[in-house]
Amino acid sequence: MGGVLTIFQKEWRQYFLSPVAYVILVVFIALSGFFFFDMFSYFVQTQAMSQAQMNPAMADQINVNDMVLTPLFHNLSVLLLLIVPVVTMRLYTEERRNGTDEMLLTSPVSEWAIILGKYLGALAFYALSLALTIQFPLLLAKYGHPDIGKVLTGYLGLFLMGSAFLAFGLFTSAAAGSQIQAALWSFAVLLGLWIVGWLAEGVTGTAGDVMRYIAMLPHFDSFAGGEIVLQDLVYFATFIAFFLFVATRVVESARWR
Amino acid sequence: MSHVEADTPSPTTTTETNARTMVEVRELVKSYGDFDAVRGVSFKVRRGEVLGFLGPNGAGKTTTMRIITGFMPATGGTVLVDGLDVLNDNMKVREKIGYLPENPPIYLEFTVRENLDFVAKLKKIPRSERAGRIEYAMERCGLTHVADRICEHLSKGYRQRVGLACAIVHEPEVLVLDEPTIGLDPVQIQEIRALIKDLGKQHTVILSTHILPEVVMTCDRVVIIHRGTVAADGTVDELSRQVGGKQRISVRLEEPNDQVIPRLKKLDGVEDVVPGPYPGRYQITVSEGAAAANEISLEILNAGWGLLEMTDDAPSLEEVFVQLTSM
Ligand SMILES: Nc1ncnc2c1ncn2[C@@H]1O[C@H](COP(=O)(O)OP(=O)(O)OP(=O)(O)O)[C@@H](O)[C@H]1O
Ligand SMILES: [Mg+2]
Repeated sequence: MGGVLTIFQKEWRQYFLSPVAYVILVVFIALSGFFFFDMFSYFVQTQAMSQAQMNPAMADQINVNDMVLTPLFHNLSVLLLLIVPVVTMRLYTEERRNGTDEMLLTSPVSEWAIILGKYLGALAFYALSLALTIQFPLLLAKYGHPDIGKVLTGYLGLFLMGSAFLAFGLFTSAAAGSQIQAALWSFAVLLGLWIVGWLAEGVTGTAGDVMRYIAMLPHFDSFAGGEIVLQDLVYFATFIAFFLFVATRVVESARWR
Repeated sequence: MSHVEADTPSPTTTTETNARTMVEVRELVKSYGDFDAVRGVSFKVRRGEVLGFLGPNGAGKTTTMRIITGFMPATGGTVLVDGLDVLNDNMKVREKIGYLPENPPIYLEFTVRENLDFVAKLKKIPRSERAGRIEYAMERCGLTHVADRICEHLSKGYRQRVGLACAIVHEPEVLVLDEPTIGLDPVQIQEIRALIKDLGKQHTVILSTHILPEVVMTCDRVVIIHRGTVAADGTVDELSRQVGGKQRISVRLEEPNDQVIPRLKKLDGVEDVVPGPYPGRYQITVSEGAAAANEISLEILNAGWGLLEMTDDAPSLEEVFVQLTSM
């Protein structure tokens, strides 16, 4: 298991030696900020209007949680779709391109340790990007009464969904021939997991149930709404474990070709 | 296709431990799809030996080395490293091997020291020994003065050295080097060869190349492979003798002379005399090496032709190689 830590440290360091990482961080923070202020200004306007109308029933509905937090989490989840493929695309393709996979795979570490180390490296980088956006929800405390519990579950949901995306992105990076291919594949499939949820709305019976279970967004909704549902935790955990396993198998089987 | 017996002990390997087989390749087969890149290669490498693995492009050298290092499994056959099967005892074998692939596997964004540090951790060198081993490997490969340079800014030759340093940092028992001098300038080639020769004192080395003088200079023994099979196996001398045939002597005289050819041809042991490649030079084919050489020199001296140079043109490894690989 020492190998996992070694690979993790290498990946973590490599992120900060690449300009792409800084671009990702800046884009992620800038867009989160944009979404936040957009939604926040809308909230302020609506609040001002309702106060002008002296309508107490409406004022009840106009709160930072429903009008800012929940939509912010949803927007960030869409952003993940674009960011994660870029975070994971080079993870394994670059090792192949540089021939460093020949060194890794002839060193006394297992494929599993290599994949896990890489995954944790990407996860740590993602956790950092996510952590750098938390000032936006916290700003709300100045203007309203944000539900801290909801902020936390929302972030937990974003973290879990991002983790699932990363596991899938790592798998495409292990399977694809180039960074671009890896990024396109993970983007396309993750987008598909999104769309499946919408398509499922018109489908009844088992097929519809399966589609709803596979779709990612419904599992995130509970977290964005302030709840922690065991079934959704299980979904993400299974998804991550499955794709890390598949990524390991891909690396193993590439040797036999 | 004949093999020179590989197991006759050479004078340098007299003690028990030295004679032990370190790497044994048995009936190795590797197919890529329906193309057989390696078709039944077998050879042994003794402990402390430097083995030259020679062959033209596409002969299967890299493929064989990748199987020995456990990077890819064979389609058939086995490889034993220090008695351990590379497939079944994968992890243990990996600890024993240092591998320099065709392209040095280094992270270009890391410094030389960072690369070595990563590899040292990966090879499970205990923390207390790590710094010392890294310094040692850098010193051996002449990298100390570029230790903190980013590899991307290093020349091809220096990157090759970093790759070599990574391969030796854990003091492996076996070193597998795939064309270690490719892309280097003549000075660097000399340095790397000297280094390999030196490493050969402590490690068992398998070195692939298609540069023949490299083998003569650095290797104790040669395995020539051609189209995925072993074409020859033996010391450079053994191979020369095997292909041997006639020995040649070339002489350089002060001036070309009509008398030279007829008079030398009359001597005992001289079979043929041809002029060239420059005026005053003659190539003499002889059957009895030393005796004929003596006769020739006496004849030239007696005739007063002014002997400037006389050399023994043993059949070169080039000829052995061309002969074996043109079949
Ligand atoms: N991954 C692969 N897929 C298909 N064929 C391959 C693959 N790798 C090598 N080959 C083929 O196998 C044969 C042996 O290749 P190998 O790289 O072992 O040769 P080599 O002796 O190292 O040659 P060189 O001197 O050019 O490095 C070649 O014909 C090559 O085209
Ligand atoms: Mg090769």
